[in-house]
Amino acid sequence: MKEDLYARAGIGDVAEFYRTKFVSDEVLDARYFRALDRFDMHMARTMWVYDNVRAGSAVLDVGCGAGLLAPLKRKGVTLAGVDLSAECALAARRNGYDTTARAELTRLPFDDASFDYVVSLDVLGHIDFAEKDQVLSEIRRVLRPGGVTMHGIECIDRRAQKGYDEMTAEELARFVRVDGHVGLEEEEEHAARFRRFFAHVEWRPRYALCLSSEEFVKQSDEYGLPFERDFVEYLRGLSRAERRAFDMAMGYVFNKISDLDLRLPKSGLYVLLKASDAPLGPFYNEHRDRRALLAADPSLSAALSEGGTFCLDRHALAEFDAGWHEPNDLPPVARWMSRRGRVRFDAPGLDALTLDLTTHLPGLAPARPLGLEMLLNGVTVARLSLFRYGWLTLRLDVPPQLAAASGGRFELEIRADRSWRPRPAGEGRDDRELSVAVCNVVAHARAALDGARG
Amino acid sequence: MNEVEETLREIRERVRAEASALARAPQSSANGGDGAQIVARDEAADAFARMEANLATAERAGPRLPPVMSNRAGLVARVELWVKRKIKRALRWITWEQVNFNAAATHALADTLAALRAHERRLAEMQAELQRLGQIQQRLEELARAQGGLEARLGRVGDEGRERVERLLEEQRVCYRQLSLEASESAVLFDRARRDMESRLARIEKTVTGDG
Repeated sequence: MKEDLYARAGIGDVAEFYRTKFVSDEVLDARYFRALDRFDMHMARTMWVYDNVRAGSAVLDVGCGAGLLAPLKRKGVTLAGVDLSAECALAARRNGYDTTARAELTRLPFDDASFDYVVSLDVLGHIDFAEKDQVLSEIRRVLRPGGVTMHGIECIDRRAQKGYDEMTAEELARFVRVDGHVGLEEEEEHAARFRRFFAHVEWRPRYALCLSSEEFVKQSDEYGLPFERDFVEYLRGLSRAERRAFDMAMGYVFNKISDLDLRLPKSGLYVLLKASDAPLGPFYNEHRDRRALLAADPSLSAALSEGGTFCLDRHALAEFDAGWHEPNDLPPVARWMSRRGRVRFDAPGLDALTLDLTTHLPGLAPARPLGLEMLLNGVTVARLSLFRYGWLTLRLDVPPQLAAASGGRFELEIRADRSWRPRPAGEGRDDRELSVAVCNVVAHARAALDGARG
Repeated sequence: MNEVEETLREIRERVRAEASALARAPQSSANGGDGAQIVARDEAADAFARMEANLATAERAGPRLPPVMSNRAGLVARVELWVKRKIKRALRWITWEQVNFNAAATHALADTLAALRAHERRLAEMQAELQRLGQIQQRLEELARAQGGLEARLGRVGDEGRERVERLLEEQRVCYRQLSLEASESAVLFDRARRDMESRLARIEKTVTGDG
């Protein structure tokens, strides 16, 4: 039936379909994770898993996509992933998974009892009914005794939506083409299926209240969910920054619902489910410890900076403010800046900073360059005009008086005199305000330079 | 009677030649850029037609003397005809020279006309050849212009290619730098983990030794 449904929707290459749906230049690598993103609604499912796995455990991500569980690396887990698409498996590997493989989920390429946790997010709704039991059987096989399996599963509410058998050929094709859902079930049906394989199953309907702005619009447009029309139109008109604010608020509420252990009514959209042969612990926050997410491990910072030269891009060694967008794999992995961005960091004995920067600003020319100003602790240390594309390496020497007065705490600020929006309207809208992309921000301490000279 | 018929035929040919020349004149003027050449060619054709008519007259009149005739009647006419015959016979030695000259001049003019016609045909052929060469030259100029455009485009593509390669090299340089920084970080973290492991082992060893 799976092949039939995909074929009937005109999807010939299922792996390619998922690759195009779920692989992007988004950087999910835990080393680039911003603490504030723990409130982002897009990260809500990841955070549920994060707060429920034990530090240092072994986790398998079934249907890993580009690697949504990558932040778990901050907890020191051993993270493995499998996906139907080789490109997805590769993307997850790039995003920090310890091992990934392309495999059918009905035949997992791992030995019995290999993992403490087996997790899937938005996967079981994409598996044909005839194969679901085989997948659960495989999950049970690779799970260690007492291990826990956790799933975020898309659902259907047959009171509000048509079942597959009730849809016309055209409706079915349209429905499957949206996300590839060929195996949606009711919340209770999912739980009943898990009970056939695991002694203890617990599930909570989620997304009854909290959805990202993007999901609201999609559920309304693509699945016909009856949200208030004017509200959906309002969401559709939001800028990227406004959508981010909305998603942060939604994510915050989602987190609080979990923290308060509130039980929401059935949403018919999505369910979080935990199952194990052993009795289950708390549904939320069973192993909550977010210290590694909030700031860099001090000993790690010390280790990375003890050589005197260290890169500020990763490991939360520097605090990038809201003037910076999330990292993108251009390549290399770099952060786009709006008109102004600040980076705060500790670097005792700082002698110089080096960084690579580029721009894609349209219409760049010698007659119309992009003006940049670099300030360190409020003092202008460089001014330059960028009039060509390509990468430029900058070295900013720190004036000794400034270094002496800093107390080892610095704030680098970059100001651009222009910016642009890549796609301000239409399909695939990207209305981010962009000026330059920056990476390889390296702090060079005087001791290191002296050592190198010696 | 025979002479009258011939005279009438001459007049008819001359009138036809002039009429055909008149009929060609407007057609030539309606031919745009080549009008001047065509008009010149038609004027030559008219001249040839007139020349042919004149030559026909000269051929008819050239090889013989006119007949002896009188407009009078009776005895006077007979006397006049007798005198004229005597004079014709008496002047035959000189009039036949004139007749011969006329015949030679007619033949020479006929040959000239044939030569002119041959030249006219040759000229027309050369003109056609020239026109064809002009078209070839025009095509060559167009090709040269296109080649110039192509060369400029190739130059632009080359410049763009060089620029892209430069950017790619820059991008590679930055990527390598990033990889190098990541490798350094990994080495530091690995070393840190190794030292941690060694100190743990040392502690365990110490504990085991102490127990022993």
